[in-house]
Amino acid sequence: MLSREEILHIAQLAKLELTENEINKYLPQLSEILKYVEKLNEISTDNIEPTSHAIQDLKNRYQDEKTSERTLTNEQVLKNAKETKDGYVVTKGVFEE
Amino acid sequence: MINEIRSKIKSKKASCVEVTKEYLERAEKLNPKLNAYISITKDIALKEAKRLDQEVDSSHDLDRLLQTKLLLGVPVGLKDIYSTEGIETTAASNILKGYIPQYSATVVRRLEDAGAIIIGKLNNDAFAHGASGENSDFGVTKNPFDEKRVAGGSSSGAGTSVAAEMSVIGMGTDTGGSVRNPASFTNTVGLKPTYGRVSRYGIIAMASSLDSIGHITTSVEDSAVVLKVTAGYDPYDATSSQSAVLDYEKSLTDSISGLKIGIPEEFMSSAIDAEIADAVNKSLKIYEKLGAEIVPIKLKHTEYALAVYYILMPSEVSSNLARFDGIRFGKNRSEFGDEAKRRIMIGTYTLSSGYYDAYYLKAQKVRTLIIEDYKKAFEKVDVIVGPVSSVLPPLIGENVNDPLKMYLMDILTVPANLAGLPALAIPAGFSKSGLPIGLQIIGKHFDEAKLFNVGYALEQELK
Repeated sequence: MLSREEILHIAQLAKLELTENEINKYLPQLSEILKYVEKLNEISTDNIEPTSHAIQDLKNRYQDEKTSERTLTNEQVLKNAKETKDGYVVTKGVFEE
Repeated sequence: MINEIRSKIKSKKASCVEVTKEYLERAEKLNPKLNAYISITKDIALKEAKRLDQEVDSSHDLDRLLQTKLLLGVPVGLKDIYSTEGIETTAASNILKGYIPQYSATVVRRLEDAGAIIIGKLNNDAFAHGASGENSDFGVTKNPFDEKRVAGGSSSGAGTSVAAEMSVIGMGTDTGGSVRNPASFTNTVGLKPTYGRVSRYGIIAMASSLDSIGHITTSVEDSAVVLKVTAGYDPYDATSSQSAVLDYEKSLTDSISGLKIGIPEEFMSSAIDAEIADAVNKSLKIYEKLGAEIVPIKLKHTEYALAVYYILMPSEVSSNLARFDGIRFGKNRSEFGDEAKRRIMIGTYTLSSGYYDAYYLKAQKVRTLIIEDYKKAFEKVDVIVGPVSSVLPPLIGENVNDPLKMYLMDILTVPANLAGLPALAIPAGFSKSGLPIGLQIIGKHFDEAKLFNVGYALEQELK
């Protein structure tokens, strides 16, 4: 069972601002889901290698040709930004004065 | 359907504009009722159809044009998580309302190069999170066989649009069953290709180690033609495979005599709806009649696949959705719907310091055991079959307040994603109440040709 403090901590890590309603709704739901996935503890995985990619014969590939043909222009990149200035995206300051 | 359109265009019995108009009209007429499309791009579609007609008219060698453009004049709908240059792409989420991509996904370009005509953006569960289409911020897609029921998800619009002939091809994505599930709920054919077979570039990512770019069609033959267009190496997707793209149509009519078909006991447990189990058993009888050998097999870690999936997938979701910061594009994170928030929270938790080993690493290890199960099975059999879904299409609203119950709908489809295997959903009949039932055929890596062959054999018998 997740605690209220844990939910708030996870939300903070995930940059989600939850309403009181959301907290009350998610708390039992997320607890139930986590309880379900904990069934993995029933099986032993000693000496088993983890898989991050299911197609094992793929090797690292290095780019030998430039793929610049489909590069976006500065204007295109900024097209969907809320606020721009001098070819940059304007955002909130990270550090306080 | 595709070859019908091709021969009409070849014999000049119909133009691209005429075909496009026919589908556009039906799409516009049925959409208020079925909600398969988020947007119908009528003007763009007609302009493109006109351009293609000019190409047809000025062509001195129409056969050759049709060989280079396999989908000439074929109307296609795209799940609204496919980036389309200049056309709003919402992922069916409020957070992306108004977002206009500046480039198209590689698959979109391949479809366009093949002469396909994009007639709209299809509805889906927001960010492809769901098995019922109910998580869309644009309303639920209805099932054309019973409008009180869901069409499956997350590629809900792809299933409904193809079943109701609002498009010939419905392009979707399958991370845990999102193409196969709506196909099985709408009596259509849904392909989840091998991981890496089709480029993911430009398609809004859900879970990068599981995402597969598939499609829904009315026939197995159409499915084979579409894969020939979409498959192939893409330098813009490092996980796309360099293995050769085959002429998938060629093997459709091969004999399946002597073929070994595995049937996992774990796929036919008592949890499966009795009518679905019946339909699967009837299909097996047909395969036996055609000379295939039915081999009972065991995939003993099947019961853990869903738990593995619901750790790995949300972990990757939380990472992929971190880019939605409301600064460079899109609205701020409070606009995410409930399901996206739940998955981000679960994933953030399972990846967080102190829990990573217990959840994420553990799940990655069990994923290895699941892959081993399939490897061993494929030493004995050519393909594996079972149901797509353990339940018939639920009523709209039936599961919305119970996320875990909704997750359980993916139980028979997630293993193929975890193991990166190709899987094909094909119609296997109807319940007494008239609801569609789907059969799933799972194959070896890059063995889509065999899936089409086995699927086609049953399709012809059930006609």
